[in-house]
Amino acid sequence: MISLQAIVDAVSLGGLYALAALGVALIFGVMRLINFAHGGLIMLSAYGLWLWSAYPVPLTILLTVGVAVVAALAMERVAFRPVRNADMSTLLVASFFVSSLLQNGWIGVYGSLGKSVSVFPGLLDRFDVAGLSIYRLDLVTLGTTAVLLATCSLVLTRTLIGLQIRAASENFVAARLLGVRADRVIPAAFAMSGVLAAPVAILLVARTGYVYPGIGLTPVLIAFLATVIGGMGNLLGAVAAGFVLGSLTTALQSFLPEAAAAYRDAFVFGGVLLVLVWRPGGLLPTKFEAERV
Amino acid sequence: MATWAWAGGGAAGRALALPAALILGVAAVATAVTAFGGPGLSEELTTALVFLVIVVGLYTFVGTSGIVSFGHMAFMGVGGYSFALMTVPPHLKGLLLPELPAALRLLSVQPVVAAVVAGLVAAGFAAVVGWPLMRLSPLAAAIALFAVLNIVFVVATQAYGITRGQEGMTGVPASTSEWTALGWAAVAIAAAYAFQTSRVGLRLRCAREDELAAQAIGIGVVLERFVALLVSAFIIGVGGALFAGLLQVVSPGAFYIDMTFTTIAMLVVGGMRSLSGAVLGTALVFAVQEVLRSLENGFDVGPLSVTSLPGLDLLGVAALGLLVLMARPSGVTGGRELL
Amino acid sequence: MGRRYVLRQMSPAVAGGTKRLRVVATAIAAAVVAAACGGSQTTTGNPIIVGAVMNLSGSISVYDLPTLNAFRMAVDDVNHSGGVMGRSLQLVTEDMHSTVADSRPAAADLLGRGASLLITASDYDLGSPAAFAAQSRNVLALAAGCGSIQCGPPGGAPLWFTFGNAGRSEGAAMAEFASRSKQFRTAWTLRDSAALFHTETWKGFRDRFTELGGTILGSETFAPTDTTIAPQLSRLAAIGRAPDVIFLTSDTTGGVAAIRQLRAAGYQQPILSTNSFDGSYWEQGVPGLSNFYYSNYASFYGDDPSKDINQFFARYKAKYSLPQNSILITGYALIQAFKLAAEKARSLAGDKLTAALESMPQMDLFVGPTTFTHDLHIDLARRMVVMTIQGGQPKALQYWTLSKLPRLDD
Repeated sequence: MISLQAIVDAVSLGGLYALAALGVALIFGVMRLINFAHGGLIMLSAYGLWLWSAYPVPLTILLTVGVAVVAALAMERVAFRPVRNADMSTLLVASFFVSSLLQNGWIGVYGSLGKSVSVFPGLLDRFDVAGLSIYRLDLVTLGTTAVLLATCSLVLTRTLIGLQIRAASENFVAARLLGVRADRVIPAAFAMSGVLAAPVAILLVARTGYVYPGIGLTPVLIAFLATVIGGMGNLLGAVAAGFVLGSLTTALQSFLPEAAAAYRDAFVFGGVLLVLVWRPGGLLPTKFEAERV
Repeated sequence: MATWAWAGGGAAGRALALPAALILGVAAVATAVTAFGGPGLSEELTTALVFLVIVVGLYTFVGTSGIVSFGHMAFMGVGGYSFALMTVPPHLKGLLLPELPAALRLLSVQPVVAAVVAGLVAAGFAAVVGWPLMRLSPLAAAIALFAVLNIVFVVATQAYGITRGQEGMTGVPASTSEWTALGWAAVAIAAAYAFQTSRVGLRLRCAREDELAAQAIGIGVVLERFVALLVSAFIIGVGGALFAGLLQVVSPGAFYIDMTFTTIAMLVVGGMRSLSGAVLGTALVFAVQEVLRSLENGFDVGPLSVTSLPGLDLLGVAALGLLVLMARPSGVTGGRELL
Repeated sequence: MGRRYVLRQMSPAVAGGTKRLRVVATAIAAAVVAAACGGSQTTTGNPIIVGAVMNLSGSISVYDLPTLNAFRMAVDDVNHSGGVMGRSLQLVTEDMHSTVADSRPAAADLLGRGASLLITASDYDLGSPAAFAAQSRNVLALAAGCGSIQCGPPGGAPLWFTFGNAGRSEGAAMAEFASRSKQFRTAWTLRDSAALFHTETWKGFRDRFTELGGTILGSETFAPTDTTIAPQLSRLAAIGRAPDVIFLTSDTTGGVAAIRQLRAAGYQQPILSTNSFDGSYWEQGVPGLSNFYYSNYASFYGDDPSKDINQFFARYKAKYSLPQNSILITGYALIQAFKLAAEKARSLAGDKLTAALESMPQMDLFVGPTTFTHDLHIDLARRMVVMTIQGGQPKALQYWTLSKLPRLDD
């Protein structure tokens, strides 16, 4: 039964990273910015969770999402709006700086030791189905990812702002010529990414019980890689890639022999490199990436 | 170089003015600091010069190709570890790395030679991992190199028998003096300049501006990027060796995110597209870092007394980098050379 | 700490003739006796400079700042009882920012200011540059809580000592506790793959547990940033036998998550661990935790078997605040040992102090009787305190001293 169980384990982490990738890919689509500071949003949400863990559940969730959205909007307004028109590499470097500011700012004020907190302990209930161990948290993660992906999709296809976001992703200049306000579209995308960052933090903290400044680094690193190998600008591709990377990490942990298990991450990154070399445009490349001479 | 000056006459002479000016400028500052500063300042000067080698190495790839490599610290690390393995005294290697093969354990090389070999090893490593990556788009290449850095980091922390893992290798003899560092800084600047004004370098810089247009006139970009990668890996590998000879210890964390962040900040602040930018940016950011470090233990502003602010230097550099990107994205030099 | 004049002024009433001579002789004798006693509150000028390279900022500061407080308390106590060889100790610190690059410059600075003792970071990687710098000037280097045997001759640093517990020792102690005290026969181990200390601890546990007839059912690793240990738990379930005890060695960053997931997965067995889990700051992540045991330096909950330790922590809490990890008492022990060594060697030269420390078995220190040898500048068999957490409340159980030295050769 171990291989089925391994799949169940893998799928859970895959779902979490898919969610993280979605948040990063959304901003990338609209601004060509791979937002490394998304990890900072996850960090702030996690600390918010620690602060408000004693409140009733709906309020806690609302406040946590609120913190992420406010931080995302502030980030956009203060740090990214002035560099909006820069090239992708500059934007990436800028997001790197913002991420460092957030993390070191936090450490400067609160120190680097984490805080432990128990939230939603019921999520760790386990039930056995046909010999497999499944945690409620795994189901909630998958459910949340699916719901948020569907919601994002609906917002992007059925609402005006969503349409504007998609137009801006296709061709920003043309969209503006047609009346799409950059100052509406980009903040909207950032707000959405905030809404996507908070659940990642909640699910992480529910499982680990520990909040520390670097908590957002691993998810955002995977999201980073997923955005590129998924096919830049392709939301579905990024989500799929995030899922695959998360699942691969867990699967390798299950299957690698003891001596090699500590090298697990090297294999995951090696896998990323292989994908990039085999399909430079990503697994599901979008049109804009393939320019022709 | 002297023959070029004669043969090329005025134009070549003017062209050599830039590296000469940069090198003389750095040398002048170094001499002044050594003459008038105390021993502590001398220590910091050496560190700044080593950073200069590293950033110039980074520039040789990033500035010429336009690809913001997040993985170059992998090459610095390869250089650093190679240098350590060559210079740590055999008896200490025997104690710290009992599983090391005898050939490596007994290896003992002069620091200057070891630095060159370290650079070559780093370049060799870059050749192997970098070749397939050079045909990727700039963003994909940046991320791919970051993946390479992570792989090197994981291997460095787990391959205990060769690297001592997280503990790191200590006992590297102190071989990086101010004059060693200054000498290598001059070599690095000269090499970077030679590359960027060579035909390969010029073609690459042309392609950097507009890849499509360059392709339209027949410039493939892959080979040029590859050469840039090798040259930059050599320089940054030497930088890693100098770093090891300065700190007298190599550990995986020294060649990972913090170093990536600091060196990219130095390049960005100075101006990514020019060699002068690399030099100026290093000096500027390093100075800011040192000032902030000294303030970390608290200071007085008039009647106010601010107690310790740990991490202020990293915060300050991040803020500075961001401000530069916002106000003047092409950096202090505007991406242009000083001369 | 004022000076007290030893020679008293002659009373004008006592004057003239042989009486004067007798008084003078008595006065001189009194002076000699008083000076020989080394009495209380008598220290001459010219303090001994103790240079401490500390991590006052950065991630390690969480451990170093309390240790610095312990140094301060120890230095004050020593100075109040006559100093070292009649001279007071003066503590001077430099911040190395939890960065290895700053270790040597900080040390060079302190050595330049005349430090006769250099206190290094409690980690081989972070501390060795400072230790080598001290060594090159024949200055003794001491680390408070370094758990590596390489803080000494095996690491190329013959003038360096540490008062910490080796990872191997902590693991072996918990193995003996599991096997002898609790009669556990089977164990499953989970260790943090990031830090060497945890690999060493695991090896110590594994070796001693199997030596005592126990069986290790499985050994797993995880990274501290891992968000899930589901694969490791699945492999545990696949073994088919429930272990008597689970041995977990990691820092709290990943460790809290591991404990939380273990308990949630239904594993209620005793969990054994090490000093990394000292302190109450992490307990909200696993509220009401029970059946958890760990090896420790001392208990700061007021129930340590040693009265002196309880008094020390009462003073510490009054002056500073609740500590997070008892490892800070190694800082106090360090200063105690320095005084012992200096007064035995009657010298501050590094090689003489080293010889003194190597020649005083069972030194009476706050961390327990400590012995250094010519080859090992860490005490591998020193007693530890086994703690337990029941219902979320940590308690001291008993001392534990290893019955034999742990293996070091695998």
